[in-house]
Amino acid sequence: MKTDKENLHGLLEKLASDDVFDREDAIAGLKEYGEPEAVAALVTALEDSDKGVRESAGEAIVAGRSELAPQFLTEYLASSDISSRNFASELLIKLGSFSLPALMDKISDQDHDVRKFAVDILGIINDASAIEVVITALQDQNMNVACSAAETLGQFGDPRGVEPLIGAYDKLPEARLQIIEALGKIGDVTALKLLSVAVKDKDPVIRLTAIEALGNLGSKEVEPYLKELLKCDDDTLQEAVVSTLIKIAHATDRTVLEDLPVTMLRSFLLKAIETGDRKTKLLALDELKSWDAPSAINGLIVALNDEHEDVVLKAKDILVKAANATAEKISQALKNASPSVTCDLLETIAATGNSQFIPDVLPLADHEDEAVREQVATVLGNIGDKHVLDTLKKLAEDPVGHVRSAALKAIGWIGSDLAFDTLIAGLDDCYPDVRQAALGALVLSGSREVIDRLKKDLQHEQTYRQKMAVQALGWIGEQEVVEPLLEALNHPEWEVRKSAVEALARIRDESAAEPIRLMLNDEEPKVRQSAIEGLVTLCGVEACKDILYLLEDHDVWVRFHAINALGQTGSETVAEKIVQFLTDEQDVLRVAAAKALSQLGDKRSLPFLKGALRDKNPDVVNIVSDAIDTLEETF
Amino acid sequence: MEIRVSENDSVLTLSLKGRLDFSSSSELKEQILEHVKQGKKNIVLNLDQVDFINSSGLGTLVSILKEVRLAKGKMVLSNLATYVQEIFEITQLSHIFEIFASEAEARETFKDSPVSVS
Repeated sequence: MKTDKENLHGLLEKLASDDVFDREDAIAGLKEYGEPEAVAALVTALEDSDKGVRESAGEAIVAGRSELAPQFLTEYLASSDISSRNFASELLIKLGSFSLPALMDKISDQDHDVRKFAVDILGIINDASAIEVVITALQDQNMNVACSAAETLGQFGDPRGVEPLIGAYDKLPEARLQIIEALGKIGDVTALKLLSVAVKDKDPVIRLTAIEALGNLGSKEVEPYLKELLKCDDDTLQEAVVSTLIKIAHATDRTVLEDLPVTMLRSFLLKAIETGDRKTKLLALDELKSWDAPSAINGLIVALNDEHEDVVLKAKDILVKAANATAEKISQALKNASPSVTCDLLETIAATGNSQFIPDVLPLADHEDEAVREQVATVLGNIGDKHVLDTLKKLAEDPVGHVRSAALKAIGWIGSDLAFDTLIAGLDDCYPDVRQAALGALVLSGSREVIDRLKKDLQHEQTYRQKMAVQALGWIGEQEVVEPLLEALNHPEWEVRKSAVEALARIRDESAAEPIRLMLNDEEPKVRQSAIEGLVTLCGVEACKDILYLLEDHDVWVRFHAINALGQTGSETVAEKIVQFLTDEQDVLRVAAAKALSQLGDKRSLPFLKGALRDKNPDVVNIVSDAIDTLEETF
Repeated sequence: MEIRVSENDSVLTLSLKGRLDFSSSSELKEQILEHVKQGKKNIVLNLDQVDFINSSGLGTLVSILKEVRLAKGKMVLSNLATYVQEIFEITQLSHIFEIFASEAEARETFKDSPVSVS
């Protein structure tokens, strides 16, 4: 047998092979070794002629996490080959904190490029334990290294970086921008004095960066310095100041904005909503909330077109709250808006339920865009005015299923019997969603006429219609539906009988108890299952004596439902009947029995449950174990 | 049906218990509209203990919602039991009522002050 050393030697030789597959194999083997020669070989393979081998070597180095790897990799920072240098940098970043010692060593390298790369990588790794070394680099004689050090200190966001950055500001004129940015990122208020000077710098870039940095301090102390700047005539500067004041207002309190010129603030906010970044847009929208509603509307409508979903949602939210006060503006906007903005505006109107909007909404029922027509139906339903029924009836015949469905729902919400025929026609629609919407609307109506029609439908030639009729009668739940549902228990279709049992149980009419008890003998197992559950709902523990015999039903799922139902009743007398199922050949019945026994809480069942811990099915054992825990806790 | 009323931070909460049918929902409507008349227009209906609701009950809820909206108020629902949730889905009323999983979340919706009107 070969020793480790011999194996390693073999792999190193294989890595020099001309065959790519040999070299790949060698890398796979070498990554198991932490010896310097193995790590060095992997690093050398980063320059392999084959891309796949290079990538495998990189992955092996990262996976190996050898402390030696960063030492080898940092040597590439001096490479004139850009791709090798970048690849090594990428691996050093992936190695994260493992790379820190090697990178910190390179801060004193002879080559200023190496020093700069090392500082940059430390910034990306973003581990502030390297801060002392980076502070040293801030005094580097090479300006590129010093600038990178300032950026990296900003990246760390560690307040220990503030004093050195302030100290370097006057000494390093070329790094001033990076220093200001870094101070902004750190956000420590001790930078206030320097930043308040920098906002008056003759360089406009420094001024703007300093204003932004002041905003990041999140302190009201910056307010006087910023407001002083509003006196100048520079529009760009003023915009930056207002934007920063808004940030501060949100971080502290709104009083910061109170004495700003209203026109300036409003014009800035509207511009920010149109052209700002996502965060500024959200802040500007928040600010709009405190405006009088009509003058805010233009900004809100602009925001509805925004590419960011959260900006659109915020605008919609504000619009809903402002809609009643901005009715006139919304009406105007509806006339020229794009389909998507029209839908958003309609959604806003829907949330208000304000009938004042009806004249603006009705013409949109003929809109060419189906999403708009769908939304029109929803709005009209929300407003709930019976005068819009004709429009809704028309939309219920729309060629697009979604529109028909929305129209039928809306008719239901309005709750008028005047569209009865439209709803009945909807039950025959080719789309299930439309049929469901018609059914829901009929349930909401619940009128005598609807009940009579549904009773007739119990004899409909289509079984699905018979079933829907029973379901609808059940959901209507009025006293008048009990009789037709009782009749439906004798229906030739088992699905109808099953739905009738479920509907009667839902209504909880006591007169249904006896007929449901008879359904325990139904020829169809699924009806018997529903009857078990229905009887327990209606009679509780009293149902036990009727259900017990179904523990011997030939259908396994009827037995399953019977066990479950008996467990729910909490009867003291049924546990002994259920324990026998702990040894049933059917897994589902053993599980049901364990659960039911834990619900029944009869301690005499404990020995049987403990015996069931030897069950061959681990899932059953888990349930049994839980049941034992529950019972033991009970006692 | 039992109706328990509580008020906190200008939000009126009515916790209902029992069956919400024709007679009980009429009583509920009467009570709510009386509160609205007194200026209490931020309303949460907690339906946690409602074990039955029929089309009359639903119809009355819709009609209460319209009345509250007309009075520039807001009514939301919370804690719908599975059975009640099911009928709200069937009738699509979940699209016109704001429904919250808990009473606390429902009350939270009133916290945002409305946009002021000049």
